[in-house]
Amino acid sequence: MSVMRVRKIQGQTGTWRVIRPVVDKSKCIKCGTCQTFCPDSSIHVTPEGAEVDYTFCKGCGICANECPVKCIKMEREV
Amino acid sequence: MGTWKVLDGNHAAAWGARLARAQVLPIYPITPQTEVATTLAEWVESGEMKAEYVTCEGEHSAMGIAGGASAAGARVFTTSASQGIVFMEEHIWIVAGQRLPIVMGIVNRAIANPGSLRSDHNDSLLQRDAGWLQFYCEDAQEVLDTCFQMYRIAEDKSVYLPAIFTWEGYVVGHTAMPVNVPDQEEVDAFLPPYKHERVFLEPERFVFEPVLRSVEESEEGALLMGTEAVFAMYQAQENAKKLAKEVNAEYGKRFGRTYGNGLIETYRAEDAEALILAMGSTVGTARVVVDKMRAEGKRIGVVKLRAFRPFPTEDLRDACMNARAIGIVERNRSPGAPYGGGIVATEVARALYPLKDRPQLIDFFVGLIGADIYTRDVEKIANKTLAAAQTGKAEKDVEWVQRVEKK
Amino acid sequence: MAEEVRLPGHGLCPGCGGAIAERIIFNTVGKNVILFGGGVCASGGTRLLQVPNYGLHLSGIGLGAVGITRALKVRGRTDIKVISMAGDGAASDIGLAKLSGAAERNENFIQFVMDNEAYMNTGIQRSSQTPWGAWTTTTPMGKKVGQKKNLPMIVALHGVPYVATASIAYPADFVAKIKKALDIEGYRYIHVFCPCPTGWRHDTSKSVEIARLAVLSGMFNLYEVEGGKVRITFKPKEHVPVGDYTKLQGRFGQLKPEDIAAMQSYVDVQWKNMLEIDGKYVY
Repeated sequence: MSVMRVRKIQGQTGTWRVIRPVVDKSKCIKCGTCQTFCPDSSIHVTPEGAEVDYTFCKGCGICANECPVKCIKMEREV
Repeated sequence: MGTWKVLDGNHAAAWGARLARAQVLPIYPITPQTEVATTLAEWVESGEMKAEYVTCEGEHSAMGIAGGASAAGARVFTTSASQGIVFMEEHIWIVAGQRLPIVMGIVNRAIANPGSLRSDHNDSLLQRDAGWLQFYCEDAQEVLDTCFQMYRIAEDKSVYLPAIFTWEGYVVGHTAMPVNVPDQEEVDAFLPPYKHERVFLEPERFVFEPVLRSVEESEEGALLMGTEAVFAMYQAQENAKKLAKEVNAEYGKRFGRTYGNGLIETYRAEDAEALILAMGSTVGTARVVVDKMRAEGKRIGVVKLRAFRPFPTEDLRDACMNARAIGIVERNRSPGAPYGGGIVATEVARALYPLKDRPQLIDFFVGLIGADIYTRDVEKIANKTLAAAQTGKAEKDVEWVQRVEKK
Repeated sequence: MAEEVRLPGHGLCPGCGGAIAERIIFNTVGKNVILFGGGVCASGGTRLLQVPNYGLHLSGIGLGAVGITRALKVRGRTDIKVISMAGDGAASDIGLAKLSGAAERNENFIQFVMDNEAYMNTGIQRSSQTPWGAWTTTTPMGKKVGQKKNLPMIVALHGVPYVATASIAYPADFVAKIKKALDIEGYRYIHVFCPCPTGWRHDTSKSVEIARLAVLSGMFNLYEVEGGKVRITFKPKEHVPVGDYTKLQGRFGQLKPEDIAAMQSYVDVQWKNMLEIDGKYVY
């Protein structure tokens, strides 16, 4: 069976950011809301709390806006 | 071996699709192709033909559906004419660039306006730039044989281009002749099941390789990918040229019928000083005219242009180089073209250009917008071409054979 | 953490509602699928969906999916699911005849329409899904002619087995509808409401909030039509005023109080109609 190799080129869209989400893991209740709503698959719930993949996160702020306990703050990139 | 049936061009094409074991048939009816669409529908409904027939909502849909089906691994056949071809134009270009070996029968019909239900060649010639192969059939037998050959050539991994084969509506489409229809086993031996080595949508075959690039890097080279793709299509057409000849020879061995060398055929052209160059059913008329003139001792012959894409440049040059004048049967329009001529003349001129001692080219507009081409029209063409060959100077570069001069 | 079908690093705008919808869809349907079409602003971003994908152009709505499903049928591979995605302009305008043809013939695939209420990929031009009063580059004074075309109901009236509306703000409802659709044979249609920060002129962080307000205000209703029977899948206890929805979006910035009032009346009538057909058969 011939295999079709398809390269999927991932752009480093983290460079688009002007603000970045910062998670206060001590307040995170690991509900998964941020993970569900991230357009860029860039925030995931781990046993320690939500973690952001800054390689790809574009800083849209949806995670911070939707977090039920408001444990995510948007901070300036520079 | 095969069976003899009395078939017109449309029914011959339907038999072609059936014996070629076409699996998905997205077809929209349009005069003069209708009988191909309805015959295949009857066979699929009765179970005689194992295929999926899609009664789609338009020709644009038909070719889009054809693309999806071909990409998902099915052998596809569709057919249309004139306005339908123009309506599906977008997808005609897309599937060629996608390298999907779809085969389409075009039942030549003039494109409006001015339009007609009857023939000229604009609908198929319009596709010359899209990358499809295109072969012109002279009669119903050739329609049937060419259908199988189109799949063989198109599905070859050195080609992977969609293919058009054409026949004139009514003149060939609706005129019956005895046609030898090969047995299914014979066709199966000639045409193996469809398999595409590169485009084949099946989830388990896919291996995705994520590659991280910087935003700037992902643009690099992206703009040149198109050029590479076009270059590959040109190469595929060159490969098709060679393959068409091999396939023609093999077909001759298996079925006892060949069509010239596969790309062109010459008739009584060896010592000809004048040549009539034609495509499609007019070749048949030209043969009759040439026989009559040869009996009178005139040195005239016929060149049948069977393949228009790939254009048989080298073979045509060889066939024409010793003639002094070539009369081109121009059954298409291209208002504003060089010298006020047509599409075929432009292509032939380019092919013959490098010849040191070029024959004269005379472009004869005939059979436009559904006008029938009579023997007397071809005789006019033959006589004027012969006169040009003998005098060394054609009366005009472009002649309108059927126009009635207003007094 | 389950592996995502859609990889990050795509070129869709920050806050893109369609990007959220795509994730929900593909994390639900899994990998034994063939995708036809592009989805939201498809050519605008790198397509990082890890499924085999065939594409045509804007007006070819559903066509490739028809071909694919027929080819799979004739080859005996009916285990593979076929998904078709289209934008709202494509489905509702230029490709409507194609969409209708596939629905009418009950072709076997799921058609998703990613509704961001305009031709966004080409730079925010109006479509028949643009709501009344909205700014677009081709309706710079606000869309004055026509309300949003009721495409889901038009498709339902073709007599297809399943039609649903869905919103990124209600992922559980969305996932339930996708799962239900996957188990039905024939033509299934899911119309997904996808806010677009770029075209609707709202803050990128508010995409989900605006999608929620659309449902809570009655501007977009969540329902399904299964075998012809209408069922509203989410009834807000109390609707919020339409103004709460429009005030967050720059595209409604030109609306005067009387325009908002007109929108409110329209929305009220639509909801009343919905309640009347809830539980009834439309075909």
